[in-house]
Amino acid sequence: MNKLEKILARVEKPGRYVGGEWNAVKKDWDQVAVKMAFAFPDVYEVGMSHLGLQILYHVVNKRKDALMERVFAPWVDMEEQLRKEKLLLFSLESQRPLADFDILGFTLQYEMSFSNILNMMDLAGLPVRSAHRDNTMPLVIAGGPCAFNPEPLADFIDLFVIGEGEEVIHELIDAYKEMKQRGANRREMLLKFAQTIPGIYVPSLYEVKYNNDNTVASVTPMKEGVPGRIGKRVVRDFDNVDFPTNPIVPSMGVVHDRAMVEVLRGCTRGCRFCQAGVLYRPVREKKPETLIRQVEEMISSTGHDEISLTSLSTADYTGVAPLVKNLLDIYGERGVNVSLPSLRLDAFSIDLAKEVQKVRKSGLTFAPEAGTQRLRDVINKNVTEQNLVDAVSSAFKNGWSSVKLYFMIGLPTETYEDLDGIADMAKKVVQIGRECGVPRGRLKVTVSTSSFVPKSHTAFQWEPQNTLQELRDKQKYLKEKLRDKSITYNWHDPETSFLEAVFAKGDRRLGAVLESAWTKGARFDGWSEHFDYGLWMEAFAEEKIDPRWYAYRRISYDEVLPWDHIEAGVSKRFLIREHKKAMAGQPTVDCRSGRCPGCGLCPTLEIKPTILGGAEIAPIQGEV
Amino acid sequence: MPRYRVKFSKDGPARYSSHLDMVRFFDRSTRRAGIPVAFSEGFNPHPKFSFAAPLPVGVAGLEEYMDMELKEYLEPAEIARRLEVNLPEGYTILDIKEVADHAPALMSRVSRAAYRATATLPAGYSEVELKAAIDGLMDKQEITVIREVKGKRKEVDIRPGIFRLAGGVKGHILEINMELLIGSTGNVRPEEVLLKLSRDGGVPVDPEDFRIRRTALYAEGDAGLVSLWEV
Repeated sequence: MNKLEKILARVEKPGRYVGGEWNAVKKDWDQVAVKMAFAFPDVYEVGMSHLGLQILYHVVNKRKDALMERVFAPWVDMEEQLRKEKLLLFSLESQRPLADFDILGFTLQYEMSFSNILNMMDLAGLPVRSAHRDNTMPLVIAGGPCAFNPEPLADFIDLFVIGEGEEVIHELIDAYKEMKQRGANRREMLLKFAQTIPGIYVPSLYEVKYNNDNTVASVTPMKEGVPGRIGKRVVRDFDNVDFPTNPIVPSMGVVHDRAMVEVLRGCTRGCRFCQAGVLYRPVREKKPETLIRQVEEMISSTGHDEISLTSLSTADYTGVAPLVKNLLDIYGERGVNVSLPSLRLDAFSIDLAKEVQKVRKSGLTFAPEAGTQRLRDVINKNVTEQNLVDAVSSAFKNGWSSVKLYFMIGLPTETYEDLDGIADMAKKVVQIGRECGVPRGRLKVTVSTSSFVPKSHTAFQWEPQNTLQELRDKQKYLKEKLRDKSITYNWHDPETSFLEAVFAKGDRRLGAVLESAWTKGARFDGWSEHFDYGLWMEAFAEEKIDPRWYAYRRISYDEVLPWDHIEAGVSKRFLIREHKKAMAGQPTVDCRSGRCPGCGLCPTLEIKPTILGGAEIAPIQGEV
Repeated sequence: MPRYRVKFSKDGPARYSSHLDMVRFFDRSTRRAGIPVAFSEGFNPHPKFSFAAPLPVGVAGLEEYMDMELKEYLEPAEIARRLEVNLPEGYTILDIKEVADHAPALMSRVSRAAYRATATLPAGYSEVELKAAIDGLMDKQEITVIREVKGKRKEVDIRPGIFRLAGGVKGHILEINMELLIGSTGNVRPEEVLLKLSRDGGVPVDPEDFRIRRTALYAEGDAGLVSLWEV
């Protein structure tokens, strides 16, 4: 029995660490020029539910000259065993230590996974700081939504990939291979990548200067040819882009255990709090025939019994109704279900849900986000109370008895009247349920509130977050207001949201805090059972950094933001205009309507939205 | 509907997946293989698979059994051919045969399981000491273990469920063979026996440090034990 077997006998869910799943790729190590490890800084069950992992795994392993293996954050019991037995963190496929790879790539999905990134490097035997790693060690790269404000991780990550990864990763591997053959060292490589590959950000090549009031004065490249601003990468031909129709089938129950087909990328709605809505612009729809072919390939290669039509807003897909009907006709007989991850608040969505949940009515989820029309106009969530009334009436009449409603609290300009609005809406839904004849015992309305976290690259990036006390008061108020046998109220831990805001809007100086918190034992901060707020506050105190300054300060438009040099394609001018319109309670058009709101993305990236059969949108050029 | 008995083994990375995960594996493998598995009726249809006895996580199974029902007849050899190429790493199909529609469920017939546990021989430990430890345990009238049942701790006597216990040393390997009660009348887990040998018998190996394989499953036949394959 080897050391690994010994420790696997001592941890819960050892299946997390052994690989061997269907469609996993194990290559001959010595026959491959460039070896990459995809590192997901959370447990297997979370990481294996992530479509981005499957896409990059497929794209890299398709190449003859490269391989990609996986590694997930070991759960605390596994970490204890690894440290006790002095085993280095290893990849699932070949069970090799991560230090053997050329490139170690982290995905940044969530700020609260940052401590796990440091921990995984440490478990791999690598110094956590970029400056302390030498030429014998892998390049540590990172991408994903949180790479759009990479600054809090600047001390630890050698290189960030900004934007969509499936094309730029080839350029990176090609360049790496060429430089490795020439015997280049990591400094030379990083400089070359930064100079020649669009969308690559090497933080060590930039100098950050601060003003006396602690705000950022400037971020400037220190070497010639290194871009001052880094624009995001975006896939132009989304219909033809490589997509994994042979994804790995997890060997144990994971969060999303189904075949995921990406119906469209991006979202046109323009909710002002939403970062994804900006990062994944412009909207690009796949052709229905492409989707049908991909689903067929996927079902026969995986054996999954459920197809999920994923995207930020699947109900917005131009041909969604015929697509769903078509898939149900083909797969219903074969015992394969179709699922839609999110629904719009309208009767059309209920018709869709009716199609896909013919037998089992498992419950419907809607996200009005705010309780009053005034506040919904502020955030540009273009749904009305009438939409909600229509949608839930239709749902109750069609046999559903439980409805979930998602709201955000602490949104800019929110007052207690808006909270009353949340309670009123919930009660109204209960009343509609009763009127529609749902039996008292079965009628269930669940209200969930998350706390608003201002994010970079959004119209609300200048806005302060509510304080912990304000959020707690609001939660308490709602708890009182929502006292009803048919209503269940769930809320988020405000401390987590606070820390999320600090890192979402943080700068390079937070690196020291992150390292200190990790040294004190911060791990799995997104898991309430492991999140230790006190420990983080100690770390801030020791580094003499006030987290409130990052989360609670109203930022002025002319301030240099720590992430201003990372460009998502939407102009800052547009975001300022959106912010002003928000304060005035004015909505902005959806570009799906055919009218261009003038976000500046299309002319900047020289791209256009792909909306099937939709009106041609003529993007506004130049100044808006 | 035609019913088949499948004899298979589960080792390698597959031994770390739970029974529930394995049921899901077979569901997906048969769908990939285009094997027309019959499903139960109702709101939540599930494939008509029935297994003899769950394998504990981490324990390999050298001869495991499942029955499955199909919607239409397929030659057993054809099922095997399709299934083999669609199983994840660690699973092997050993044999498939058709069984009578009304044959009793495997779960109701299985009564005894054989296990082999091996570990690296600790320095200075001998076969004589191991045999003494085994004899000492088997001489007991009662062997109580604590089990947690629905959050409550309960004392259970496992002695009647240990039918055979033998051990020996082969080179640097210490080997223990057990035949234990399994099925509808009760269960003795191999780890429980190994824990007793280590705690009470002084065998200097932690139960976790044994590699355990379930080598056979039996039912009571008219003339003594028979393999589940024969039931």
